[in-house]
Amino acid sequence: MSDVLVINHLKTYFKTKHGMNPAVDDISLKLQMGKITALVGESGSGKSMTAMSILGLIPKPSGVIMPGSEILFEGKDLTTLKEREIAKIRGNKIAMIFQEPMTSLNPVYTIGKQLTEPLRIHQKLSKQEAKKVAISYLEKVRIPDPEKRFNNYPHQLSGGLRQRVMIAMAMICEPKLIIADEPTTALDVTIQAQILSLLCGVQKDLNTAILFITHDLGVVAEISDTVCVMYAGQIVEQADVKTLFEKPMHPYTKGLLKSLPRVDDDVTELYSIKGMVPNLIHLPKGCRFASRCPEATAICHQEIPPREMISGDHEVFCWLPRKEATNV
Amino acid sequence: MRYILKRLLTTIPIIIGVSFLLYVMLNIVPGDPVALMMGEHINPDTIERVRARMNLDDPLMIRFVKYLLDALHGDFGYSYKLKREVSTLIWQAFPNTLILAVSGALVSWIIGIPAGIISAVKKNTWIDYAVMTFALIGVSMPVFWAGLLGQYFFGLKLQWLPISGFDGLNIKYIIMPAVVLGWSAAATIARLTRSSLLEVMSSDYIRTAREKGLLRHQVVVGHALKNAFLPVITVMTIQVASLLSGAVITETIFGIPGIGRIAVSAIQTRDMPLLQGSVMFATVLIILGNLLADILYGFIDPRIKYH
Ligand SMILES: Nc1ncnc2c1ncn2[C@@H]1O[C@H](COP(=O)(O)OP(=O)(O)O)[C@@H](O)[C@H]1O
Ligand code: SF4
Ligand SMILES: [Mg+2]
Repeated sequence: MSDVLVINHLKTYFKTKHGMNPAVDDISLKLQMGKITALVGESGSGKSMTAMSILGLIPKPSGVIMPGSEILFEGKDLTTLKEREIAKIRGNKIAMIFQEPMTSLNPVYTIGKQLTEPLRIHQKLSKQEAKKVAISYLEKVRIPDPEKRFNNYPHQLSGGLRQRVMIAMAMICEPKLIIADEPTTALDVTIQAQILSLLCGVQKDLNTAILFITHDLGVVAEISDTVCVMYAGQIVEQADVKTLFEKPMHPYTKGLLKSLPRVDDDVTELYSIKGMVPNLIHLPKGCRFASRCPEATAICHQEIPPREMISGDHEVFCWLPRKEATNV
Repeated sequence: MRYILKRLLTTIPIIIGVSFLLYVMLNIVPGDPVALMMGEHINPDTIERVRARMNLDDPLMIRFVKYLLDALHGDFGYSYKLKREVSTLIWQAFPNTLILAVSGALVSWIIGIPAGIISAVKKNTWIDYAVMTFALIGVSMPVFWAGLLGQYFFGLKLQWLPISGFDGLNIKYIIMPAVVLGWSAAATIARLTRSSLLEVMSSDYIRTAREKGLLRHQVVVGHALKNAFLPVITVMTIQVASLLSGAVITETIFGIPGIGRIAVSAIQTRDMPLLQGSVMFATVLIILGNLLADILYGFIDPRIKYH
């Protein structure tokens, strides 16, 4: 299986008045061709900043990608590219879909102008050629009456339709990788399902890799192949979707799974993980999850846990596997 | 098109309402306006004639309607002081005011918009700080003070420009009053352009544009400016009014024979018909200026037409 993108030890820190905020703190992951990798975690855990680091769009000057970080794509380290070089990759080989379909399109330009823009920049197509391609993509994302929609302004479209436009825009240059940052969070449930199935369809058509960012494990189960669980700037557990749902190892993952609503459950009140994400600027000494962890022991508060490989591709960032090994 | 028509139609009652208010205010001055105007030694026949010409024996409401109907035909009454039709005087003064206001507006745009864009793009650099300091001075400096300073330095000391006077479109005479008039508007526009552009630059659709592969300067030109101009245009419409009223002061300082100078001298000589005519005219001008700016706004923002 070939890797489209490999992230090694990515650290994206923010300079703040109170000190360094390690929003993304030593993340490593691989995205495979034709696979959907989910990045899951509570709000503020650093998912979006991971995505923005890939595209070199970290808010500057407060955000910095630290030395030692590596983002490998087509033999190049994206963190070292000049603005002009990485701009050629954005929207072309790596495209992104954002959470906010209502505000992610420019209100004063037509759908058509915005949709054809990547083609005009990257493939230097003429207006006429670009329009043809754009309309075929509007059809692909099943937007009714694409000729008319092409000339519409964003405010004339519903949220669901706008997100379809965003998907068409991400696909239009046939990228190797699409990053979808909570693409369905702002939509209502029925539309969510449609957009998800659309994304899966796209992924099969183009055989792209997708990095699917969400805070909702329920969505993950439906569409992804591999899952990375993120907590306070770090990946705490990584596995294929089946393993993660059947044999979760990390207490945080277990907590997230327990808080999922179930059809076969008659308990009305949902489980939720107690406590809050720690302040990243003044981090505790040991495991970042220790203050909320139901299985924490003394060592958890003292020392940073090891990264344990449980099986082929199942990795956990926790003391538990070691303790179990010594107890047995 | 329908939007423009609608705006045109709603403007008519506004003009009538505002001019009625003005008319009432100018006519509740106590005392006999004719005697006030003509001085003391005047023969009663003349007073009668003037009263009839000004419809002073009718109730206020009727007088207003008559005035309005006459005004529609271009008849604003007669100035007994200057022995001329008010409309003639206004039409002579109007081009001068228009030249001054338009050149003041041009100055404010030519200085204000680029200054705002530059300081937004160079945010938190010394260029930004320099522009914003100038803007602060511009906003807080009264027009008459700026005028006097300009006259002193560029007229008296350096002798680059004439101190006062007016000569049609002769740029030598226009430039100082126009800069004085446009300066504070330029400062407001620069500050607003800056903050509006900065806000737009942090919006989601700008992030989308960057994510597509556009470079920062391409995003500013291609995606941000049009959005950033929307609030700037709104303020420009409001400035039409302050430019015209600022023109009154500027005209007085620089001795430019415009509507403002007419109104001021009409107050000094208690020339009621002239005062009334020039104030009414200026008011309608301001309202129409706002209308024009509104229509322009509708062309830029596609969302407007569907409201
Ligand atoms: N512009 C910024 N300046 C400073 N800190 C930021 C900025 N943007 C994000 N952060 C920090 O990065 C952390 C992670 O944010 P984000 O990646 O958006 O989380 P997620 O997408 O998982 O909800 C936040 O908790 C915040 O502290
Ligand atoms: S290391 Fe300890 S505190 Fe951290 S998740 Fe594992 S058990 Fe809990
Ligand atoms: Mg996010």
